[in-house]
Amino acid sequence: MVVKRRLSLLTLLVAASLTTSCQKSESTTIKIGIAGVQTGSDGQIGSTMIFGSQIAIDEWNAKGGLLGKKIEPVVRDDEGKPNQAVAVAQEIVAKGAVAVIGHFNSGCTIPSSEIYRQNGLIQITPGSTNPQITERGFTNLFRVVGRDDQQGTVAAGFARERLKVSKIAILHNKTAYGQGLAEEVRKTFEANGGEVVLFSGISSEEMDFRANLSAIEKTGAEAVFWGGMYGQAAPLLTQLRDSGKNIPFISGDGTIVKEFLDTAGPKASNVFLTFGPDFKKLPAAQPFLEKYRAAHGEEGPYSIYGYDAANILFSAIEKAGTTDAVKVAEVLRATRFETCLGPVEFNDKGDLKQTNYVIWTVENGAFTILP
Amino acid sequence: MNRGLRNTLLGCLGLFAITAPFIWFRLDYNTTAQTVELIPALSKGVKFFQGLLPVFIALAACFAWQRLQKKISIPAAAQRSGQWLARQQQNPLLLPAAGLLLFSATFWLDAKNLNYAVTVGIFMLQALGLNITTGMTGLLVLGYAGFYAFGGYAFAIAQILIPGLPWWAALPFVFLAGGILGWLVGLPCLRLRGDYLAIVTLGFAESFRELMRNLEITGGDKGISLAASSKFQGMLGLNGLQSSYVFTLLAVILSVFFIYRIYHSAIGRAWIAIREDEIAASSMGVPVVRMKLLAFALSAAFAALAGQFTACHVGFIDPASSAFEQSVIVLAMVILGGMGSIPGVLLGSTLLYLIPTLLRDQFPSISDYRLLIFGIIMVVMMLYRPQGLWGSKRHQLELKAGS
Amino acid sequence: MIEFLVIGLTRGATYALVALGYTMVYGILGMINFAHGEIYMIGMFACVFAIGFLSTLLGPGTAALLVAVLLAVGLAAAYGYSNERIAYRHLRKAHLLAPLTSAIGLSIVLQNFIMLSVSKGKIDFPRHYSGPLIETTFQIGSTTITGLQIAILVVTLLVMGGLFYLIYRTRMGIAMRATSQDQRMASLVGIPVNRTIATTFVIGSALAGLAGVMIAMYQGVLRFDSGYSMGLKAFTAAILGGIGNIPGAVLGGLIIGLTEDATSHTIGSDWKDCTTFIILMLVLILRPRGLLGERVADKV
Repeated sequence: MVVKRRLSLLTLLVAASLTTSCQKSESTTIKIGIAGVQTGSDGQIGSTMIFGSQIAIDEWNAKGGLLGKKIEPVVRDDEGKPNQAVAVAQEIVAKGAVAVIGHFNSGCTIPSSEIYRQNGLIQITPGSTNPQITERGFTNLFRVVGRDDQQGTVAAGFARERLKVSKIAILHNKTAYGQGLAEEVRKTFEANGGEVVLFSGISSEEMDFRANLSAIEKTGAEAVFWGGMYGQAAPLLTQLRDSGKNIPFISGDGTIVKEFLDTAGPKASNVFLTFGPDFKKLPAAQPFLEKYRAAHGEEGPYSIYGYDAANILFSAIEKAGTTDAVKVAEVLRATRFETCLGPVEFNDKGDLKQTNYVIWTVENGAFTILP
Repeated sequence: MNRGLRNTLLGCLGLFAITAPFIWFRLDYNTTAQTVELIPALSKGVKFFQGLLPVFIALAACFAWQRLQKKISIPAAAQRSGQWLARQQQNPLLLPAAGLLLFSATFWLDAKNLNYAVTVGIFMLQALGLNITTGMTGLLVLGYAGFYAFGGYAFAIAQILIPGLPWWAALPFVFLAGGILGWLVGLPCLRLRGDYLAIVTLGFAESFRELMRNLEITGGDKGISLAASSKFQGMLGLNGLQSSYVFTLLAVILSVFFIYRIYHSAIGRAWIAIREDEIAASSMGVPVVRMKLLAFALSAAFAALAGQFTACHVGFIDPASSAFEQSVIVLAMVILGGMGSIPGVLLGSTLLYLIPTLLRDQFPSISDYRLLIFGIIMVVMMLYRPQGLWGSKRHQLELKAGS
Repeated sequence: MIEFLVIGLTRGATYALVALGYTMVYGILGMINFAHGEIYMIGMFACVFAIGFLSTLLGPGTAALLVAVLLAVGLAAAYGYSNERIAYRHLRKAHLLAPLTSAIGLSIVLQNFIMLSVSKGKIDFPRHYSGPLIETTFQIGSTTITGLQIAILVVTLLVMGGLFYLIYRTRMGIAMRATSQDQRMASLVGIPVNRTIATTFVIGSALAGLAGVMIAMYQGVLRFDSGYSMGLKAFTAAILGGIGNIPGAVLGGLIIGLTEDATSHTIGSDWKDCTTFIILMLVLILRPRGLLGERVADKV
């Protein structure tokens, strides 16, 4: 009978999974999860970050590992999609990781952090900037970058004071990061007496912005702010310049990627981005940069953040003498870490005590800090 | 050589020619001059086919099995054990034994496999639901993920509005709401023909997705994270994951029982009649409108149920859950397993989830190839075995071309 | 106002080109070619690959661009032909679900094929070739129109004119119309049905490929999933105009293009796609024969 056959089938499948569950987990390594966007439209910024973390892991393993055991990285790609990030988080937890470095996109870090918290993993994100991440009171969650409220304030202040822009058009890609950053810019810009003449969301697969641009033209905006990633920033900028408007194009840390320059080419003029300080000139960063360039070519904006996050995590675990999340979190909050980017201290929420967002621009086809 | 062979060879050559530029070459961009060059990249091509390796192995295995079946004689011992196994199907102890085995798995499966089991169970619920419209009634629904996401979102929003809402309290309402939504979506689709119907359901799912992306209460692209108290709770000594498994297993068993009884009743016969010839069915007195709407309603209700289970298990829902990709996966499961056949769709969901997942450790890139393989399965199954792997006998005759 | 028209009509023209393919195949086979949107996407990618190939041979110049467009259209047509041969030809007499499911499977295969073999993210259209077209601008009042937009409109008009000539003035056109009216009768009077159907697919796919090439130049970036949304929109256009009706497809395309533009300007670009899907559902539910189509007969 059909019903009986079905049950015997289910039994078969359960037996099959029995065989796969017969592997004993090794306790001779410490598993560290590394999660981020490796493929897809944000692939370049995420994969360069993960490479940075992997270099840190290699260094620690060469020095004898963590708490006497080798570090085994569990690297997973969340494709920049929130539901994929959740699946990745469950996988990392199931594999027995004790801590995780990631994710990159704020939209991925927020949902996955619930799973890490419920399972007692320490999480350090090298690149998620949405303020909500640390506002939820998760004691196991830290970040080594600034927040969008800081970034947005810098961008809006720059537009008002330095560029003397009184009307700005804001577009965003409807993600946690893009929309969040756009909201912050709007708040500060209006608080500083400016007028936001257009505030609109665009789906993250959209590549044709001409309709939005003609709407912007009608409003007489003096500058455009893009809250989103480089994959759309480039065609948006190109199409803006094609329509003859040379107004300033302002965006955030999601745009400061080499691919943006490659696609926009000579159209990348009058471009202003917010990002952290220039690490390329810091002497403490040179050994890392040499190693990275030898292995993977040109570094990405978050490679060094990935490296620092990993180092901080491992130092804290070593100092706490255990991988228990509560103790490691205490150590993280109480210690001052020396990193490539300078000294790092965390506050109670898990944010950096000190952050510095500066304005970058594009000159001669490369990103440079605006003097 | 004969004409058939020559045509096949020409066909393969042609396929190779049109796919070659994409597989065997790569683009090299010159950013200063803003031009591009085509450069041969054999390693890329090899890597592409490496990912498809499991497909080739499976095809070769099927081929070999077909050839060898006629030649090898089964040894007597194996024949006897095969007969013993067949006799066991009549053994009254089979059901309780299988049930005991499945329920006890709560304890001897580790976390990773329990997770797989729960996910398979949720896919089974979806496949069972889609089977009602597409398999039994012959209405191709392309927007199934819309109902699935509706269930998840309905519960997620409910637990925002009513903090601390336990999952079992909302369950009957979500099921009912899903049913009502299915009924509503089915209403305008009543007089639409096959492909139009499919596209309208797809349009519904896409509109739903856009709506979820744009409204504030649904969190837009960021989705909704559920409060811990609304997820599956640990109870009676079981932890959260184990109770997820128990409840999902219960839901699957009850659903199978329920659908099996309906299928073998007048309602099920009405559905099959509608699938085979709607006009003849209506002239024989089958209440076509009511039966079609019932099919839509039940199908959507099971989808919503699966959606709520996902929300309670994973703790997160976002617009990507109603994407076309999700509908395709469930559709592939139904097709592979056998349209209209209950054990078939259970088999289909198990295979199409477990095989790529278990293979992932051996072939790390297989998750990339998953959808490609599903698409190939859909085309190949339609061409060579439209009744699926474990198809219902009733369906076999009419699906084959030329009947 | 003029700018609004120009943008809407440019996109609308491309929707019309793809919609023509849907309408032709439906007219002749009674089937919706779900994989048609992917042919458009292949046309986009084929153009970039062809440019890459030719720039090594002919050097970077306009000659390379023109030949590349032809090659891309040809490759798209070849894919259309293979789709027909592999997935649809043998399923013509089967139950309705079979070719439809096969088409869906094919669409998935093509999308993922490009995703896996080319790129999971976006690739750029080499600016060197589309640049001159985009940078030549004309002024009408206060509006700027680029050379590319004019090129798209003109090419679409010419191609549609050519198509009308083909359908209504040539033998092949007669064969196509005959096969779409009654396949069996057409074969009885000596029309090579298989070849006619294949030709229909080829022409429809060539049009879609051409649309792909133009949008690739227009947008500057390509993604492997562009075919999906273009497919749905062009299908909406075909249905709106009356499926099976060729002028209807053109009309539908232009209307959808303008409506999208209008939505962006009024409600906001967030709702752009949603509006198109709602139009689709409303048309299918309230007036399935569209604006110009005949009564849709129910095939049992």
